[in-house]
Amino acid sequence: MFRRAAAGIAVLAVAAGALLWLASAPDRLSPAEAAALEGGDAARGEQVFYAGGCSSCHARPGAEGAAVLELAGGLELRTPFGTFVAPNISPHPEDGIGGWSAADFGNAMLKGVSPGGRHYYPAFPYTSYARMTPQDVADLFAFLKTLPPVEGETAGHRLPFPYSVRRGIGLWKLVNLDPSPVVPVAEGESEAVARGRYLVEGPGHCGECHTPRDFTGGIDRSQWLAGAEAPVGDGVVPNITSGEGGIGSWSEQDIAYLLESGFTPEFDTVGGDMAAVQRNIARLPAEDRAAIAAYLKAVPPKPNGYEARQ
Amino acid sequence: MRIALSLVTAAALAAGAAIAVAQDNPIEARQALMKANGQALGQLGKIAKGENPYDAAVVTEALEKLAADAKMLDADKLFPPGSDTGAKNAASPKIWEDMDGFKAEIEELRTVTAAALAAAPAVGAQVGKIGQACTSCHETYRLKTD
Repeated sequence: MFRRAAAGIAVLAVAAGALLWLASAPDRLSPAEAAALEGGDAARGEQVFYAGGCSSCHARPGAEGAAVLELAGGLELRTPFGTFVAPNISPHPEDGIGGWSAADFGNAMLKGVSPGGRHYYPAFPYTSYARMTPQDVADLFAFLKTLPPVEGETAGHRLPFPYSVRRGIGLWKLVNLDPSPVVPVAEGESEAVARGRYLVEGPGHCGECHTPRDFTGGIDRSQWLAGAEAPVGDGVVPNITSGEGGIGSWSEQDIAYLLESGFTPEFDTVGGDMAAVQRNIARLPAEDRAAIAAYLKAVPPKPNGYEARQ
Repeated sequence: MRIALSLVTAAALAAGAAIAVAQDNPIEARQALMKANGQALGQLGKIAKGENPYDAAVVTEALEKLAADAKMLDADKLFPPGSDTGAKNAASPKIWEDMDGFKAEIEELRTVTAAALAAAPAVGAQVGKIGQACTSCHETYRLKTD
């Protein structure tokens, strides 16, 4: 009797383990989806590159000027889960992504899966990039191919157990990888709001810093863009909704002007990581900055997503 | 003569008071200075944006103010060791980890504001250059805290 129960428990445990293993398996693009990523346009991809701010993490730390196009990696992101090191994504054949196919790149950006079939940690914000159009992903890949190849593999991430178990990210993705729009599409909304949603929720990945995270480390959609403790380093990232503590008093022109010039309506300036973001967004067409402003005005107002300092 | 003398005395007293405040409460003193910078820059920026009409006198006065404030921005007095705490303190610990880098940013602000004053009452490009100097420092040495 006892032996039979023990055997039953063992079978259940193996079955549960097998289920977890299956549930955590990397999900990849279908062949048709992958085929759609061929033949990108590098000139268009440059705009996607600035919308996404790839260089903020993948350039060498402190790089300025033309050096921001050398995507050698090496930036360390010290988070509550451990230290992540941004990899080399220059087109170097061994140390970067020079040997990748368009499908490999698409699986990384849209599924968070490496060419070798392993999960990427979501410090690489594929949770946002998963909302990107196949065209933008293809164009971005074509642009990255035009950048200078840089030698040198970066050091690995330094993570404690259990975060060191990559397979576990598969379960995390089941909960947190959801490419549906955060702010629901409203009937009769303007093209500007739709474009702004795409830029903010997709390539711009604004929510990754401006939104608080829940206990799993996933974005708390109920406090979308309400501001948060800085995910890396000290301080806070501001509330950019129209709720209390946010930017409700700013006009759409004020928001667009900040993205263009770096100046707030009080003529303070952006700072911290937003300085590089603003320099990138300033390179987009003015209509894109206006679209971001229109979208932010359509985001549900929330009070600050972080606690006031004492 | 007597009036001129008393003006000098008053100015000296005011400067002395400012230094006393800085020694007494460097956090308040530097925050007041930054606020004044923002106001002066705002007068230029609103003209550059086209919100306010161009006024040469306003431009020159604001540029004089910015150049003078940049000179008053003394890292040793306004950012002494130990002044990195407090509720609304936006100074990043990186200031004290890399005081030389921080001082280089202040020096850049002095250079840029002096050049802008020399070009007065031109305004357009100057606002952008001063803004870059502000952002360059804020990027590394300022924390957002509220």
